[in-house]
Amino acid sequence: MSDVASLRIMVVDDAALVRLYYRSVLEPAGYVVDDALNGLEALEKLTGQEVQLLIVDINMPVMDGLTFLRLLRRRAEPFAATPALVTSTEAGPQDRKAAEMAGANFYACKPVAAEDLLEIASLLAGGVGA
Amino acid sequence: MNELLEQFLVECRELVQQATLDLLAIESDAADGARLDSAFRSIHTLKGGAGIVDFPEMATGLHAVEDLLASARAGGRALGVAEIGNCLWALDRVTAWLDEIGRTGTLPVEPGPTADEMVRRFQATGHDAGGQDGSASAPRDLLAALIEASPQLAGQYATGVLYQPDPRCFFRGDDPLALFAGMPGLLSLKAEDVEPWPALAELDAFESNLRFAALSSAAPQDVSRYVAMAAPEAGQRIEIRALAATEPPARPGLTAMARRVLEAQHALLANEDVDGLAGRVGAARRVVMSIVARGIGPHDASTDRLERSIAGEQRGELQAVIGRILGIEIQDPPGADAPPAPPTAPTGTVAARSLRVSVERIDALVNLTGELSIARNALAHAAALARSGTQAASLAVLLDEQQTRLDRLVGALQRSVMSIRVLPMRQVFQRFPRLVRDLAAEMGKSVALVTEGDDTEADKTIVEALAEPILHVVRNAIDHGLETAEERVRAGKPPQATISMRAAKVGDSIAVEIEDDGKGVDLARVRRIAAERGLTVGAPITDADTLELLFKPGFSTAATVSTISGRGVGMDAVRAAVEGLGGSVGIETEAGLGTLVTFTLPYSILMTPLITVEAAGQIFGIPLDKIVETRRLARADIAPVGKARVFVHRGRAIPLVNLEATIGGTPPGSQASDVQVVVVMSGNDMCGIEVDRLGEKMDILMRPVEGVLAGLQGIAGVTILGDGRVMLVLDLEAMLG
Repeated sequence: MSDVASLRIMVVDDAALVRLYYRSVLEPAGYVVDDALNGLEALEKLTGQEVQLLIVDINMPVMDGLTFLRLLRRRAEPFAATPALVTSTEAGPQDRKAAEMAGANFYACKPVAAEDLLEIASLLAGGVGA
Repeated sequence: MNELLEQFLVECRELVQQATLDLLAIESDAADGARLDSAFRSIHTLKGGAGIVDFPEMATGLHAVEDLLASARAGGRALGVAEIGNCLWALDRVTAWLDEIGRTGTLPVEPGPTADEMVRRFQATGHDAGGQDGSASAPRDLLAALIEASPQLAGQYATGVLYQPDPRCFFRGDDPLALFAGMPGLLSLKAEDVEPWPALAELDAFESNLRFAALSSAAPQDVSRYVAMAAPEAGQRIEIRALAATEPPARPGLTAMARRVLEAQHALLANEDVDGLAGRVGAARRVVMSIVARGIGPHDASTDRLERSIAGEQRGELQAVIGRILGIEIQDPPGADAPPAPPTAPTGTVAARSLRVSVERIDALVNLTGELSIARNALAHAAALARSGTQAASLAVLLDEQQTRLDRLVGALQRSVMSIRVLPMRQVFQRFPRLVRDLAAEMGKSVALVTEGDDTEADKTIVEALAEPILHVVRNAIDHGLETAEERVRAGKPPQATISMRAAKVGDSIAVEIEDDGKGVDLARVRRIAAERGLTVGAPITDADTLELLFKPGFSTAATVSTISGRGVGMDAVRAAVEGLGGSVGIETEAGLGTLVTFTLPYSILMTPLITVEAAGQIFGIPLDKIVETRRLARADIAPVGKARVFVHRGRAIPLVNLEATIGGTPPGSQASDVQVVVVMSGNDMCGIEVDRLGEKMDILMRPVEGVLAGLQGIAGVTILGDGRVMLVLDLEAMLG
């Protein structure tokens, strides 16, 4: 069983409130939280430090979350295989499908309740979670 | 206030603003689908934000708004004026909540009644719209009620169906009950009345007043295939939903969420596209391993062995492993080969980012600090050289070099810091579409607003301070300047009036123009009223001077002072506010064609560029933007006119001012054969200022005059010079006025 403290999660979302929210939920649980404001920034950041989970919004300026994920999955290991939770405000099945096709490991509709977020994070990234 | 709530406030205000602009745009162009999408997204994000900060009342209220927008979007239906009005009303309620949160730092105490009212309003709108949206909230409740009432069916149903037939469906030969009777896997059916049943005598037996909810054990796609065949005309009135309750009870240790996550990995692996395949498989493997590592796999497999086997598995085998863990056969979901939905590009207007600083600007500052430390090190080096006895001359060269460098850096630093304080005029302009709409409606006039140069930037203080003066001018325009539609048509103009707001950077200033195409200022009436109020003394005055009368305190030309332009605060207040910022305001008008008000303001108010001059042993600063030129003047060319003195400058006789006399001293009797003159211009007035010596050009931070100097006429402010002397900065408007 992994130690949560060593697990890093990168939140890729252009909305500061959302980033703040994830941080406020994940950090107390012991995760180290990074963030990026769009897909391009996330791609740039994902060259040095590896993360164990990405939480990716779909609609973002500069580069949307699905394009980002598609590009990421094409890269070399270990970055290509980073588990990703895709979130969006749209509950439509087409978003879920689009996320899956882009390489998302899981799709959740925003806002993700704190309890669910912690469970999903622990399932996708490993670690004990809450 | 906690950080989350603070962020919520900032974002919500932007979203409310965006949604307002979008709704107004939809109002003027009902076919603007992009704006509808944008409004929907803003409302949706607002609702999401309310969920995050745990403000359920706001989420509920906005959900009603969102439903309306969603139905319009889905149905390709244009929003009615009343519906847009309701949306704007709801946004006003949200703003009131935000204001309360801003004031109290906590969520509103009793938001419930307002939220309820929101929901009620939008329910009413829903009926007006013809109830064509099958996904209205009431039928959803019916399905929930059916599920609640059928605990014995738990685990059996896979699909829920909601159907509200068209009231006239019987005439088209539809039979809702027959539709359900033939439905595959039907488990349970429930019906309820849409509207309360009328008295028997009034009952129209040929109209359907029912809606239905049904549960089926068949898969959603089978049910929809059946419906498409059996009742194609049911269309949007029928909703088919997959129900999660078909999941068999989870195995011990495998939570519902873990099961869903595993299923998602299975689905992810089903994608055979080679592009990114290794990445997807790797990611799915990591997730499966993470779940297995939690000890929630099948009882019969030791975690270690499973982990080892997963580590080497490829796509197909990994799917089989997932299947074994879940203990079920998972079929590829239908439509797995459907192309992914194209990602929607972010659209809409740029949202205001009032308190945010771009990364580039921060980076520029960081770079500058780096360069500054290099310059500091060079100084240390110079000091070391000086201690070691290096010759003064060579030291001076080094110091000069460093000073030049520091000059450049400090200049760049100043500009960088200033640029952080810069905001686009959009911040002010974007309030006006709504204001103009409301004010025009109140006055019974039809007004279009056109803005230009929204990106024009200026210091935050300037941009924020411009809001009130612009508002005043706009109010005046709508109230007094613009005619009603009938009057306009009679005058041969288009019935809808136009107000244009333009901003542009002009040199070191920004110019903001507010133009209307109304009837113009009635100069004859202005003269008459001015005469009545004793503001003019008999003699006929020019049109330009007549317009100046508008800026006299308390002047109002409206026959009736309405609530809009108000009483008391006139153009005099506007001018005072603008001049307080170091700007000026001008007005031009043409009878029958309209009025143009121009504000000219400095780009920034913090640093004032000026030239220092010496006069009578005292140092003064003259704002650079007021200086036309500097020249030497032969004493013989100065002609006394009464007490004053004038000289001819470029063919124009202008007064020559002695500084000491102006600020209350005695002019010294200078004997020199010629004098140094600085020619300055303020408004349309020009004058020469006699000085002993010209100094240097500098940018200063002007401070207000305080203490004993406060009473001095003609002094705009003071600054402390590098050598500790106090420099007075001349207020040319006051000096020449």
